[in-house]
Amino acid sequence: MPAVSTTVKYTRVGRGSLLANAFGGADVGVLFPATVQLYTNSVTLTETITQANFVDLQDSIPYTAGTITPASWIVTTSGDIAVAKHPSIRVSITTDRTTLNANANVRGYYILGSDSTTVLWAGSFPSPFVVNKTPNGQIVDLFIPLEIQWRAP
Amino acid sequence: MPLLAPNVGENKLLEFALGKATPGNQTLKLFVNNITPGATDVAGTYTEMSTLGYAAKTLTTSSWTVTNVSGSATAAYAQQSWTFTAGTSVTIYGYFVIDSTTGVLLWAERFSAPIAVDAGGDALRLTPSFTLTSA
Repeated sequence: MPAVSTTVKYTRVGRGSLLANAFGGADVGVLFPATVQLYTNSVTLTETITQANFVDLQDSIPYTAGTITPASWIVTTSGDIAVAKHPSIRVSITTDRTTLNANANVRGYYILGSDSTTVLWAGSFPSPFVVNKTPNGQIVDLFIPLEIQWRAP
Repeated sequence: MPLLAPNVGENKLLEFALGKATPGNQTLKLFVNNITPGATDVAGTYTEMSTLGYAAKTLTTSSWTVTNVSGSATAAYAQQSWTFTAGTSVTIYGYFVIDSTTGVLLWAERFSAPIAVDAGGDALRLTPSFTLTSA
């Protein structure tokens, strides 16, 4: 049951939605509830990345996406930085030889907003997490910690 | 002087952003004590103007508009203005914004130069905006 660290990139629309939510603006957009999806392709994370840029693990093996619960964020101050941490998101993967042709490399995660299509932010793992084809029916739980930092200029 | 979100404001804004708390309206106030905003400030750090017909402004949440450009997002609000009445001269050093519901200081900014109000009819115009950048 591994926990993985990530390098995070916010998308342009994700950043705007977070700011709009902070101010209660009219254009909050598609924020929460948000889900945590896993991707398997080697893709460079940019602020204009979209769902179409990711090859989802779902394409090769079924898994249960994680859910971000807004009430679960814990915000603290570290120096002059506000840090929000969410309890690690659990993503369950069940190996299935009938759908998995080879071992799958999970390279990171992406957060989909409430419309299930807009990418808010994404994170890449330092090295791929390998889901082995065998043994059949093995359940792998991946725990992804989420952390957001805000710092005043 | 650059806008500064103190520690309490950063935390509150981040809670709002992530849906942990729900933002209410904000209150925009002018301060008349000669200070420079700092990271450990709270609302009580600032002395609000109280004379010359001054009144704080309410910023309604739904009236903020957010625009996204490469590298940043900016929340902007319509220009606010005060027209002062005659009375004893007052020097305004900047403004601060609090969450109207909790009273928490969200951010403050000292003007590049203090503004002396010494005649009835003097006016001050201010356009609130807040920019978020990410790496």
